[in-house]
Amino acid sequence: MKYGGYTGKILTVDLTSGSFGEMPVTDELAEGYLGGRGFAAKILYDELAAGIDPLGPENKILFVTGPATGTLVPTASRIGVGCKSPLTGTQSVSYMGGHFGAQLKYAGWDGILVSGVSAAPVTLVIDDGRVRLDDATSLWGKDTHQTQEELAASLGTDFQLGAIGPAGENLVSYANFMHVQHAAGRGGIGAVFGSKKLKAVAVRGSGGISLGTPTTDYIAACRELHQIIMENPVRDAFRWVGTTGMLPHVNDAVGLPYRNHQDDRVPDVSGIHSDEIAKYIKQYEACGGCNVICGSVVEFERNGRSYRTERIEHESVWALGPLCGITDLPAIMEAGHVCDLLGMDTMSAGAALAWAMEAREKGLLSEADTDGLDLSFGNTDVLYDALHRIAAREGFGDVLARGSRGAAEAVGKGAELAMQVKGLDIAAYAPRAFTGMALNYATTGRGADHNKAFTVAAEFLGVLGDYDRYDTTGKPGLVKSMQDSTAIIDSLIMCMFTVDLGISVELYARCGNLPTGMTLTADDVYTIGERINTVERLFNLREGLTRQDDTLPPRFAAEAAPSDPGGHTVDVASLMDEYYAERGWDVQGIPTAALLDRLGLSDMAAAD
Amino acid sequence: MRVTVVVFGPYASRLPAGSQGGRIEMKVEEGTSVRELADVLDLPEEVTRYVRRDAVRLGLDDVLSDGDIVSFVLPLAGG
Repeated sequence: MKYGGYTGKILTVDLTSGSFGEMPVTDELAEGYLGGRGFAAKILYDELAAGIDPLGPENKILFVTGPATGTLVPTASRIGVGCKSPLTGTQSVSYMGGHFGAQLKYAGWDGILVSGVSAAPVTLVIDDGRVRLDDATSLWGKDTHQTQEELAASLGTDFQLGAIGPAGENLVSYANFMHVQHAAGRGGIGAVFGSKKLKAVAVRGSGGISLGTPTTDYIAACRELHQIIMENPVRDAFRWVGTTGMLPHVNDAVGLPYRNHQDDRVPDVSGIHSDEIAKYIKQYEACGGCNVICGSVVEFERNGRSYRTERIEHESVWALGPLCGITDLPAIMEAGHVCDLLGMDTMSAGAALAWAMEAREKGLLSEADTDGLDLSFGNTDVLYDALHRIAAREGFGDVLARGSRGAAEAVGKGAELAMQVKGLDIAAYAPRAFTGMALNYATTGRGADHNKAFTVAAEFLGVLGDYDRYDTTGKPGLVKSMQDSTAIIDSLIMCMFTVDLGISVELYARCGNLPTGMTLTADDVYTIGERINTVERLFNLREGLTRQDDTLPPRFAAEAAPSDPGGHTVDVASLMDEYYAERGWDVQGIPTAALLDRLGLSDMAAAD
Repeated sequence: MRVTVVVFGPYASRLPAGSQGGRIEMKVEEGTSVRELADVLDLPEEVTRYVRRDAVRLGLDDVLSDGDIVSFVLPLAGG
């Protein structure tokens, strides 16, 4: 490996035989894909045959870092965790902060590729180059906090830890993997862990990282990058309430989905205003290598229970709140905490509940159908019980555990009420209010992932462009461009929020060059991003997805939000030809031979 | 004429005395533009990129009317 930043090897773990090995990270892989999401796109494409069962023995789990991970590049302690998703059937890689990523790098590994199935529950322990599988039978059944507490007590606190909870063990389609309060959240990776009986992972590293830039230059450059972030006024906003500051503004702009997207405005958002959330904050927390310090710890009480837990974030407040017609902050915060303990994605959990609430409202489900759970919009008391039943797959919880789309399939009705794309539930930015987001939701490989092209920055915040949020002119080009440039952030791997803090595409290229010694330009960033998005597309085509899957639920083209004075709808189908043309895909959404050739992907055949 | 100004949390401290929770009602001259209002309040450039009156976005040169509630939105990402 001629580049700095990488260790040059991925740890391979075969749970069936209990054996370990190494997979090399080549110069070609680094040059073409950089790391993180890029490595995951290529490796998952190569390692997973078409048509495998995501919860079967042939699926694999890939932990992946980037060349910046563990260095002084700001915010570079994140890690990606990916697989074929049990929720969507696409590739799905989730990213989490904290300290896990850096520690894996210091242990000498660029990533971990887990295959096979263990006969009994195990914890994977990585101690520099010494790797073992510890029996985890006594941990099976325990929540994510208790599991990590017990592991910390037995292994020592210098290990970084992550675990699944009961939701993953019980194969809930949107179960997650938790590293303390950080979640590798969406797409159901936790269920894949559960299917393999992999309960937890512990990593400790004592090594350093070779750099491709002389030390004094590297330190000076990293100091400059930290300075750019710290001097940006947005930093204060993140430090104050994390991601929750935008919520009331998006709501007033009629862009916050309410009651399963029946409307895009909450009548009274004051209960969940960031001012309210700030009142519960007791202390602040940072991820490794980051001085923004956007995390915090809250204390609150509800129904005689006292909680001390992570301050909830924007998407979670919304999904367990307004999406379900709820604006009671303690009820929402309690539900978020319960999701963390049980190990499941707040967004898809909220969306499954909201689907059921609308299905009940429309008479498609009765209270008997839902085992006595009163799934009515605004019912603050149903969240706690419903979430526990989902994780345990008890009664109607077993239906909800399949996600909104899977639940509709299971009961044979309400499919048009599942507010998802490819199975992944739409996020807190209303498609009708932000047409760039609508198109991104419809086209991103993983489903409706708001992080893959946050066009809100260009359509609403005046950063990265000045587009009208309702006007679809230019949106195909904007979405394509942002999907490509955003890929670098999850490949380096840095925090998405650096894009709001003054880090431009040119600076991301710099963040790639500093550890590696490469000479990437902004153009290279776009090319690598384009390659990553294309490989993710090839994976989906090979799985049988088509243009029919690049769509939104019919509601968004058919009905305007009642609260929108302008009566806007959005029809992504009308934008798809232009989007495909921008991408260099044919009218079926298949990458052309010319595109594959330009990106060096000619050996990767598209699906026939 | 009177307008109400709303700014995001950390910028609440920049509002004149009498503000409450990032809101203040204040007297401005007829014909005051959004830009002039931001200048008077010494708001940084970041918070002037998206200015809103209800669901409608205002440009920096738009002129305010009596009774307007004007919000300066910080370019924060929610996630």
